[in-house]
Amino acid sequence: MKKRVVSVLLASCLLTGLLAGCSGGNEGNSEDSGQTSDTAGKKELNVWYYWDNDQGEILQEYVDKFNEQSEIVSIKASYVPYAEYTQKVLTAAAGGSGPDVLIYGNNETSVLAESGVLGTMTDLVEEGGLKERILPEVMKSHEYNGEYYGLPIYGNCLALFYNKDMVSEPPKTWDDLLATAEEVTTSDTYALAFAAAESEEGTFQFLPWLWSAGADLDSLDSEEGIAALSLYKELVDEGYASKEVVGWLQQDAMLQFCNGRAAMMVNGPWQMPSIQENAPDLDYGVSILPARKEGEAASILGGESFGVAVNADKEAAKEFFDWIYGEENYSDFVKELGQLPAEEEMLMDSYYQDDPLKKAFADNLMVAKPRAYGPDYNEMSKAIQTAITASLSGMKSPEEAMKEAADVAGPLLEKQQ
Amino acid sequence: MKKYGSYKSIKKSMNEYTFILPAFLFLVIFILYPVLYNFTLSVKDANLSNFVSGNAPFTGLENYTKVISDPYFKQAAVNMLIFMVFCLSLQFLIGMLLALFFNMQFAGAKWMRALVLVGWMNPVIISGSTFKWLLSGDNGVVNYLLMKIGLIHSPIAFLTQPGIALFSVTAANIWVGVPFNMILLLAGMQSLPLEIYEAASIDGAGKIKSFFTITLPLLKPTISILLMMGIINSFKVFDLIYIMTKGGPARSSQILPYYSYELSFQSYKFGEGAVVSVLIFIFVMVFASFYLHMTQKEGD
Repeated sequence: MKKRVVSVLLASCLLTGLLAGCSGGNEGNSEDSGQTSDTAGKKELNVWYYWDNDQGEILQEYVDKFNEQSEIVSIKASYVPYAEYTQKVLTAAAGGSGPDVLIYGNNETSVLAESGVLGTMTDLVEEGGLKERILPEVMKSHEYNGEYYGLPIYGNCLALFYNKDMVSEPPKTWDDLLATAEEVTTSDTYALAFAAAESEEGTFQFLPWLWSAGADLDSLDSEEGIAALSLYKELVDEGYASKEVVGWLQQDAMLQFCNGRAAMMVNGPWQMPSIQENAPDLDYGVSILPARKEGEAASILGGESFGVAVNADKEAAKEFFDWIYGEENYSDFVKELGQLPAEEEMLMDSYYQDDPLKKAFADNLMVAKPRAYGPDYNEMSKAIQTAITASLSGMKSPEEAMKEAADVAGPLLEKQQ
Repeated sequence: MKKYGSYKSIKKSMNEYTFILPAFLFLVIFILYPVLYNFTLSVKDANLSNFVSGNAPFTGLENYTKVISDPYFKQAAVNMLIFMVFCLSLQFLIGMLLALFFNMQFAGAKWMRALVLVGWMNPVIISGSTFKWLLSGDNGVVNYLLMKIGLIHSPIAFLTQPGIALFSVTAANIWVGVPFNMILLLAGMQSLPLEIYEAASIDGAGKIKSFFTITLPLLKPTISILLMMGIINSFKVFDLIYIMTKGGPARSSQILPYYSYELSFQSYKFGEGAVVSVLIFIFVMVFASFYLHMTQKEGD
């Protein structure tokens, strides 16, 4: 009899891993940041971030500086790996042990706001004159239901990288792109590398083409929407881009570009240190993404922001924001991170304007649009990813694929109205 | 059976129960609770807006009907079946052949056996990435070799072609599982008494005959636990697919655990994600009790 009890228990033991995904872990990977300053009597502010390596160190450096000078607030910064970041944030918040301030990708604003993780920051944003400083489209990516839920640390966007040894003049329009592609494609070099994998990165890279065509998520199956997917398909079918793009993330596109296996790629400024590392001799330029019609270029906004948790001590958070967004810190902070400030005035600084690569991204950033489609965006994004991979791998025509995506995205958008 | 659970009998064996108490508590907290929580989640409309507050409304079986009528669920279930059948049969077959091979005494056998195990000990992230590179359509070694031999003229898109991608991840998972099958079968074989084989050979049984009439029947307990664990393990495969294909192209290489992850953590439909977990749980539970029933019989 006892044997039976034990074996039942053992059997259920075998089943465990299956359901682990839905049980929430509450602990927030809190490494001690090694701060030595006296924290007694100060309000503690927990900050979560997912920045690796250099960026993480820079953040810690600034946090230490802040802690030294602040008399009322002491910040403890904790690293949580990116792959599980949103899940961790959600489950920790549900368990009541989340961070006070979190760094998050601005496209997650509506998800984190809708879920009740982030509290509104409208007063913080409007009070300090921050709203006026920041690019309006960037500010829009922090808006949900008429309130602001975040403050941008920096903005970034996609642009066209081109290998100067292969491409003399970067294409400005889709027609240019196809013409250039035909010229530069050889048996071991593709013209263009981009990410079209079944991941948010796939949608992220597709939306600028969709917008430039004149479509949006509410008109995926319009002529314009189908044209954008058809362009993708033409690039792949003609052999200008690899069939493997449906498995590529932006990292993969970057590696192809570095190895000289792609003459151009669609990617963001965050890849520049990796390019420097992988291919220090590569002579490349950066240009705006080709537009369907000249002058109608579009780019997509990414970037990271600070958000404040619903129950956090806002006064303490404000103390930190006043300091980090202050004149003596913010500009250096963003420069050290190797990113672009989301402020027009700062972008006009010669630091960004005199360097052709930085200038290209600064130009793109000013026309970049956010993915502000509400909390159901992930589901719409999934439908778009499926449409892209289904059409590029030949399962469906661009028309059919976009029709199916529209059938998912349409009702979700309507529901939000 | 009659006295089981009665106060008297519990008191009588109180001492013994105290010994299993820590393990029992562990199981309740870390296994029973999540399982029950998952069940309750599956009958609630748990989504983003009520996940943090935790007061998701009860919706009965609505999540179940939604999931079951989703065409991608059917696809994931069919894929799951294909994946499981191929993994189970080929892992077992190749594992058995390798076990028979390593059961022979020859120079370097131990060495090679250890090498085979490396595949199993590798973290999946390494095996998965390696397979991704090997099978890449543009510069994968497999395509390169096939083209060199002249079997194919243009590269096969192993990971990005619908209909092929699922078999590519299946192949990778078979590779991952073979060493485990081999080592259990080999251990089983080595514990079999040599006298029986001697007696059989005196009676004139050849190698093949003694394999089918001695080795296989005597290995039955090992084999049944292997198959059981094979089924359970194939329901745990997520990382490999995430690394190799992300379930694509167009969700064609999604299996149930991946589909459940998608629902819960991509679309934030936690209730529907839980439904898939519950269905998996029931399916595995049926097999588990079947297995327990079988081993019970043998024990008696």
